[in-house]
Amino acid sequence: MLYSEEIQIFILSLQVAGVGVLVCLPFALFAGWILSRKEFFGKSLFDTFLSLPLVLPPVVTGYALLFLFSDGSILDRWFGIGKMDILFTWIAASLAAGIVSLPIMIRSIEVAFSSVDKNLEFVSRSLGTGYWLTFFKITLPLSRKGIYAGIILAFGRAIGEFGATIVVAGNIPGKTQTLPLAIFTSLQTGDDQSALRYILLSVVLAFFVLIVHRKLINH
Amino acid sequence: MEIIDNILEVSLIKKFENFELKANVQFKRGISAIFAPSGTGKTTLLNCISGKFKPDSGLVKSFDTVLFSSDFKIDIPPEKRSIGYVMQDSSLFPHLNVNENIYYGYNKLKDETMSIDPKWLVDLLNLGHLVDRDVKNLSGGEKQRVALARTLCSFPEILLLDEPLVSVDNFSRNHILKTLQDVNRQFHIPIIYVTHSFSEILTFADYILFMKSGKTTRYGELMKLFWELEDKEYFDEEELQTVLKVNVLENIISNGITKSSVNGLILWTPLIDQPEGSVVNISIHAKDVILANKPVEGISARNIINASITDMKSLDTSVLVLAESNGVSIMSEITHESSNKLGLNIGEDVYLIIKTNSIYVESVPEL
Repeated sequence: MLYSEEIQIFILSLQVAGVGVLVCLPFALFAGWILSRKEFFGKSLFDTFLSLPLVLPPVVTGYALLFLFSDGSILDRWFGIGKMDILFTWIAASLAAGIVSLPIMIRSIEVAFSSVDKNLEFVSRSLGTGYWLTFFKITLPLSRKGIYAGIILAFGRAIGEFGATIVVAGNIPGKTQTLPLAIFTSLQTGDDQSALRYILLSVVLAFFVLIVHRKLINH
Repeated sequence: MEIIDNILEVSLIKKFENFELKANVQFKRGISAIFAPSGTGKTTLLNCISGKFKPDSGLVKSFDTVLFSSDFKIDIPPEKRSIGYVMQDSSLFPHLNVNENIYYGYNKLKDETMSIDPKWLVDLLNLGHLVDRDVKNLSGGEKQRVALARTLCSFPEILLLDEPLVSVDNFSRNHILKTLQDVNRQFHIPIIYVTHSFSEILTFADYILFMKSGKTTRYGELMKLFWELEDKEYFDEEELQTVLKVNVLENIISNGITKSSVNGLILWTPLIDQPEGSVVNISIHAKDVILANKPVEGISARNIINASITDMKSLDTSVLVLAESNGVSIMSEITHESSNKLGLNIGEDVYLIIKTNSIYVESVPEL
């Protein structure tokens, strides 16, 4: 059915997207919580900034990451990130995929948190449960479905990530070459048959992701 | 332990875009009803007391504890206020079952032995058969009973209730009222109770707070204040009734009647299905109390009470007469014409004639 090279690319794509989304999840929860629960000066600016990767050409986002992760950058000076040799590894691909799909995740989580009845949170507190315990006992469980939906949609977006990935991780077969990059390479080299097989795989994956997402939000 | 009579002091201002609440009241121990037309800020007041809303300025003090003070920049979070609040829509946690809802606050208590036993509450509110159920499948009345049990299990120092009986069937209504009275009696938890229904207040409350267009106007003992009321919009004449707590003395089952007493005053009521010695609420509609200015004989009514008129109040189409016997006040509503014909005046003696069957015995839920 699938050649071993295709299986490797398929698994690498799942790994890159999965790790990217999970690494960004805590930040998405935090940002979603802030956007749904807090009012502060500059909130709309903060909101806009978080949405940037949704609208910017992914290549630009990739370039920003490249800039941050290279020798002598702020992150390098603070955390020595340049010596970790993250660039042009699957980890860089993961981060690129995660950050490009972050706005989708934040938006879903914000909506999920906002849809929790504030009365329930208040009742929990008036029954003697503190703010954060209430968050974990009431808010999180009640917004669980929306959070899962956000994760799965972000995962779908992360799998398709191309522009930022190619800038920070290159297109190294067996190392950083994910599905979209493999399709690109196949088309470039005129191998239409492989390209078609990868495209079919992408379509199946996309269908699967969207069906799961639909199930989650329709509940 | 010194008993503090003022259990809750509220003096606050809360402004909204098109509404302002100005509250100034010292609630007393016992059951206080807040009675006012809709949109007068009753719920806002409860929200400010419970910590759901932050007042713009003022003071909220429960017993000795300052819960909110704009002067001292104190704003105790709701979880530390020990104020139980049952809201109108019951707000049960949809991801937990009935039992988990009931135990939600109980499990947070530091010393559970001091609290109300949840099992006792489950029995009293007749929730035993529901404990494993999903809260989504409960009726309005069942939801309110669960919400009340949940709140009481957290053993609050003060209990706030926002129209808990609005969407509630009679069965639940009786269970809830009975529970509230028992809880108030046994655990001395003061209750502040918002309602639209005057009959509920008459059955239930010791004190009453009136509010008008965002302001607290008067607070005091129910019977006193009620009688002083100038504003007829506050009550519905159809509902004018006297509510008394009577002791069951003797059930005469063969005749279907019960001999009961309140303050030594003997009353014959329809058969009360409760053991002798128990305390039961009865109500008598003011329209069902006949007045006579001299003793009557040869009459079928069993209750003929010698009383003296303590007050009279002229309503649109009738006169409301308040008469007292053995310290028990009973209301009678008669026409202006009858009042003139009998020549009734405050201070004069009068005979109250009440048929046994005009006395309504509040049904007591079986336990």
